[in-house]
Amino acid sequence: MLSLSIAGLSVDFAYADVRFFEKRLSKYTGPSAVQPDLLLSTTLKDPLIPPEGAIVKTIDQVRIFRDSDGRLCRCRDYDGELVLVKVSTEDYSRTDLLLSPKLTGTGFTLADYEYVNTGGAFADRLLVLGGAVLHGSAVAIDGQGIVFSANSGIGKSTHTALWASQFGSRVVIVNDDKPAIRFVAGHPMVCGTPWSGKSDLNENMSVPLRAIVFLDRGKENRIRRMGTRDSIFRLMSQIYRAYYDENLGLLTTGIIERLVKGVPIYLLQCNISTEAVEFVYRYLISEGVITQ
Amino acid sequence: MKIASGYTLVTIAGENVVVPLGDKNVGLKSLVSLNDTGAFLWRMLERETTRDELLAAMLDEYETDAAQARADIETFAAKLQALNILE
Repeated sequence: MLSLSIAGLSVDFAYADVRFFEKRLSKYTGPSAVQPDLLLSTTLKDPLIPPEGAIVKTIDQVRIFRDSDGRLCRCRDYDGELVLVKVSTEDYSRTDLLLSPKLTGTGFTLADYEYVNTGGAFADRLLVLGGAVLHGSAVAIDGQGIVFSANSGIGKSTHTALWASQFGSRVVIVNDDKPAIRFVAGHPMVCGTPWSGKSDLNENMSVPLRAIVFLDRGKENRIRRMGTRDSIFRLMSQIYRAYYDENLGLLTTGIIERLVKGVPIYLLQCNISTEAVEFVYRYLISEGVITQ
Repeated sequence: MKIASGYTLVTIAGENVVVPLGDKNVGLKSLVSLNDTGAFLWRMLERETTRDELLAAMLDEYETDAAQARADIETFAAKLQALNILE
């Protein structure tokens, strides 16, 4: 069991894939908390025993149960056998993940499943505690946070990598795929977490969130501040929203409202170039969103 | 007719937004926002309501004539039905 501090949450994590997680978690080790905000565990087991409870619904091959203790259980079969069980308490303060080695037949590694599901468990708990995970690549330039968000494949990471090469040590990639957003004394902060997608680009840091920039590909570089409706839609598309719990889905609307009211949100159409980086940087300075 | 389960109406920063919840959220492609009249009709349709009941409520709430209110109701219902939000 490793004690961690992630985006200000105390997390106790008993992971299965030591080789994968030791490296990813090394920056996040923290003091042991008497009552951690989140307890996470992964166990490899074969065969898996199905949990007992009333089935709530089946979504995309995942069977969802509530057991007699009110815990939410998600079960997945592969090739006719139970291969994944995920059990969360009602407030998502504890999630236990059970994986069968037979999962590897799906073409993904056990580490992939552990990574995705523990990241989801963290996002669920963060929502309950008033934060959210936003799909995007987050940078800090001179300690000022900007999240570049878009659907996968648009070029978020490529764009922020150009920020790092353009500004050198003035820029830190806070998290390259799934930064956490929290409100500290009412102020939005963007925080690093170990769940950063394909890359290891993440830091255990929190900086004030100055802007959210949604990326679209374009031949020319253009940027504009988005209206409320478009901002809501883009945020709703990119904020982690659990499909298995409608109450969690509702919690995201409160976070979206706080972001729309408190953070300037922009739509950037850009090409992949250092000119695009310079263009955004100059624009955000002219808007008074960041300082030089 | 009635709003399908899995959808709720919330007001975010002054915008009336239809939010898909649970599995309805999977593959979200578009966002539906409603004006105040649409939000009024939505609230009525959170329980089983007939067109005549909607019409009566519209005429009671708004300064409009029956023909216009009927047209507004049909436009609204068609919009939600096209998105499978109305059952």
